[in-house]
Order: sequence, then structure tokens, then C-alpha cells
Amino acid sequence: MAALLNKIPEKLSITERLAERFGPKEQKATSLDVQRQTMSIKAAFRLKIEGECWNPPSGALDAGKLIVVVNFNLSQDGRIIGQPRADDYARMSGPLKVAADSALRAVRMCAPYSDLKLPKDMYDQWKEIKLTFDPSDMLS
Amino acid sequence: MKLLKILMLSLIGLISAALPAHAVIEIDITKGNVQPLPIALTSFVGSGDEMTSAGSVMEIGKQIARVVTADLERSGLFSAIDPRAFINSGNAATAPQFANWRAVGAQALVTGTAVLEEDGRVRVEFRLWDVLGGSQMTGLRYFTAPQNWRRIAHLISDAVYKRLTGEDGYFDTRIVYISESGPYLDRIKRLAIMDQDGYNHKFLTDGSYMVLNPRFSPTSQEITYLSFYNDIPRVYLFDIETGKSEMLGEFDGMTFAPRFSPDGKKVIMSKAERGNSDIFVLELSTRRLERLTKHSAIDTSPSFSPFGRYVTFNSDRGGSQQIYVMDSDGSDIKRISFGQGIYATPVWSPRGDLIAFTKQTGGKFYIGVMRPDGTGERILTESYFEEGPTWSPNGRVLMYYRKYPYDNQGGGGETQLWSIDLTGYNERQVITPLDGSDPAWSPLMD
Repeated sequence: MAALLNKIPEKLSITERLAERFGPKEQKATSLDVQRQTMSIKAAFRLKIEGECWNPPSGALDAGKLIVVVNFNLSQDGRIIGQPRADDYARMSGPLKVAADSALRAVRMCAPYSDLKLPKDMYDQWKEIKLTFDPSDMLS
Repeated sequence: MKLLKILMLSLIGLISAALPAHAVIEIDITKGNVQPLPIALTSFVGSGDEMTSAGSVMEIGKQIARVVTADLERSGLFSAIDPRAFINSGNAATAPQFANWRAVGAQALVTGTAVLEEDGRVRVEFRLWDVLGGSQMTGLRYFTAPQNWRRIAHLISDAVYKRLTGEDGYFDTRIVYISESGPYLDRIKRLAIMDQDGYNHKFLTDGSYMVLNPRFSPTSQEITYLSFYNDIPRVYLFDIETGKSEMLGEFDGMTFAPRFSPDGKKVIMSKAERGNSDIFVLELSTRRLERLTKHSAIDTSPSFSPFGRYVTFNSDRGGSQQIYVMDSDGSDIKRISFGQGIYATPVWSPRGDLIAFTKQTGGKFYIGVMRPDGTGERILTESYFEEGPTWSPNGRVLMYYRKYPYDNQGGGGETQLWSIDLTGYNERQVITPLDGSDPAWSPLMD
């Protein structure tokens, strides 16, 4: 039984799983590699926020049209630096403000992002994140 | 050497091109999990425990928190965290320790106090906090006679609901309905009223004559309903404050299915004469009756759109009972329902986007919604007998009644009030002292 258990691989992070699937590691960064890495970083963020943290407001009139953009900065160890910001938040009201609140809550709830094991050598690529929360497909 | 330098510079240039120094990663988030928002509500306990005319102020504070918790939970949009899990009691005088609230899974937090003022009134304050953002979202203060604490609780529920959903609440409202009792063939039907959470229940008529179709005025504490007083079916107006009722004119034939216009100045209804029924509208100030439809078919169940420009009703003019929409002067009549089965009791949503209806097909009844042009039909509930949807004033929740008949002809059986969220989730029974049917939701109270 113990031998069996030993055969179970250690849990891989989302980025590691994606890297395994999408391409070889340990190569000099070419433009294509950067693109591939960037894609897997994006996919990792999507998986985490969509799967674990975003609880969009439903049932509001035109709930599917409430699109919100949130920006935030990350430290090298995946923590949010400062506060996440929703575009035009100060001018928002009603259901749109509530949609922005749900997006900000998702970003904060998912933090820190250290479990994504984002590649440190590409920190410049992911230190600033812009998320567009668009519920139109799920709440039309 | 010079060549080497040029080569190195070129290489650096290539690497820079491959790895831009700084870029913003842009990601589209298009999926999520719609689920109740975890919220913590602390007791509204102030510093003192003086006696008021409605019990101790500390007990009032605890009860307010319980009523707000029940309101929010009943909406299905919030899940209240069990107070036994709280790390802090939630001292309203200081800013919350957000880490402790985050640790128990709360994403929103309500704290508050109830304090007895020198003039005998109770001062109730609350604050709504964003736990993850560590900031206050809203806060309000109310002064009230101690016995009004329940209404204050509903007002707080409405304020919290509005800030967290972006829509007006519906907790400071009442339901008027038909309370039923007695055997199937000798049913006693009384007009009854209660708060939307079932409290403050009152019978408005004594059961000596039958009543049906109660509908709230959107602008005043008045109800229109169909009464069989002296065995003649007529539409009446009932003033909840004074308890007085008056008949809405003496017309030839039978009047039924009354409903107010959005400005509360007219009542639209059906009038049957010699076996034919058409739609009429009555101006309340002049009692002038105007005909809107003239057809040999049965036209009934009229309901105005929120700004009074259109009317939806049902009619069997096309061969089977279907839903129609017309201009409020009776012109431009269009059929909007084309699905299988028959459609009845159309009711326009207060926010205008949908019409709720009862549908009957394949031996079952359904409550559903469709857009005013007939597209987007969506069934929300089904059972062997249910009908009569009424909208919450924010257009988010539907209440209706369901019957559990004794036989397959729909005879007898228990009748109950039920409600469901527009999304098709959170169906739950609305508890009434006796059987209940034909509910009508009030607007928000002033």
C-alpha cells in the first residue's frame, strides 16, 4: 500500500501542469516560448479565478451586460501589492457597482497567487494583471 | 573586437524583442460560480439593557439581527454564517478585525446597535462591511418607537440587499392573499394580510361571503378584490388603514380579475355580460368605465406594463387560451404566446422586462416568464396545480399558489403559497396559518 502511495505523483501547480501539457521546460526563451508561457500564465489565472473565486451577481436586469475591468499588481511571491482597482469604480452605481464589487472580491479571495508557481524569471510579464470580467456567456 | 561588440548588441536586441521589459497580462474571466454570498450578522446589542415599551433594548437588538438574517437567507442570495463560529462578537463601536471575519468565511459583515434614547425611542444603527476589502460599504441610523423594531429590521435588510445586489429590496412589504379553510364544497375564503415574512398576520374579512383576486395598489395602502357579498360578484376597494371597503360602481353583468394601473388611478378588469367577457378600465376619480376590447372570445386577466403604456391579458380568440399584448387604449392587439398548451394569468414585471404566466399542458401546471414580445419563454416551476403569480416589487421574486388536489379533476386538497427566485432557484413555501391562495405582493411601504 505504501509503495502504491509512493507512486502517486506530487500535486502539480496549474502552471506546471499546463507547462507539461503545452511544452518543454528548460529551454532558452524564444519569442514562441514567451508566448506559450504567457498563455499558460493566463490559463492559470483563469482556472483559479473562474473555478474558485468569482461569484457573479445573477438575476439583475441585463446581468449579462455588466462587464468590469480590474487591474492589480503582484509581488514576486504572488501577493497583491496595494489594492485591486476597478476601472471607473467611483462613477459606478447600482448593479454595475455590485458587479465590480464581485470582481474585486474574486481577485482578493484568490490571493495570494503563490500556488500558481508563476515563473519568477518572467516576473516582468505578470507583475501587472488586467482582468476583464464578462458574464455574458453565463447570464444571457 | 568591434564586430564582437556589434554582435553582442544585436543579441541583446534580439533577447529584448523576445522578452518585452514590462507588459500587462490581459485575461478574460467569463465563467464563475453563482452561489449565496457568505455574510456574518452580529447581534445589534448596544451598551445598555434598559426596558422599553416592547421589552428590553438588548432583546430588541438581538431580534433585529435575527429578522435581518432570516430576510437575507430567505432571498437565497446570501448564506448567513452561524454565530457560534464567530471569533469576534462584532463590537459595533470599533472597526471589525477583518482577518477574523475572513477566517470564518465571511465576505460581508453587518454590525449594529440598538440603544434606548431619552425620549423613549430606540436608535438603531448598522454598518455593512466588505470583509475582503476591509472597508465600509454602507451604514444607516433609524429612530423608532420600540414596537416598530420589526419594520426597522426589514428596512435594514432592504438596505443591505440593495448595496450587495444593486437592486431595491422587497423585505419591507406585505402580502395580501385568500385564506382558505373548511371542507372542499363549503370553503370559507377570507381576505388576509401579513408581512412578507409571515408576521403580523390579520384577517380583513370575516368569511361570511366569498372573496377572490386581491390586488395591491402600487401607490397606496389599498386593495382591490372580487367580493361575492350578497352573492353578487363585484369588484371592491378596501382601505387597509381604515378597514373600509366600497364597491367600484354598479355595472351590468359581472366584474372580476381587477388590477390597479401603475399610477394607482385606474383599475383594469374583466366584465362579463351574456356569457362574453371583455377588458374594461375604470377611472377611480370619475368612476368612468372605458371598454378596451370587444370580441366574442373570452378576454380576461388584464395587467398593465410598469408605465401603463401596454396591457397584457389572456384570450381564447385564436382558438385556445393564449397571452396577448395591446396598447393601453385597446389598439394593436398581438398574440405573444405560441408554446404548447394554454396560457393564463399574465402579469407584467414591475421592472418591465418580463411577463409571468401560468401554463397548463400535459396534465400539469407551470409558472413561467417570457419577454413582452413573446420570446425567451422560461419555465420556473411545475406541479399538478399551481397558478396566479405575483411579482415582488423589485421584479426579482415570484409568489404563487399551489394546490394538492384530492382527485384528478383538481378537486379539494390543501392550498399553499410558494415563492421562487427569477433565476428558477430558491423555491420555498410561504407559511400561512390556514390554507392560502391567490397572493398579491404590496409595493415597498413608505
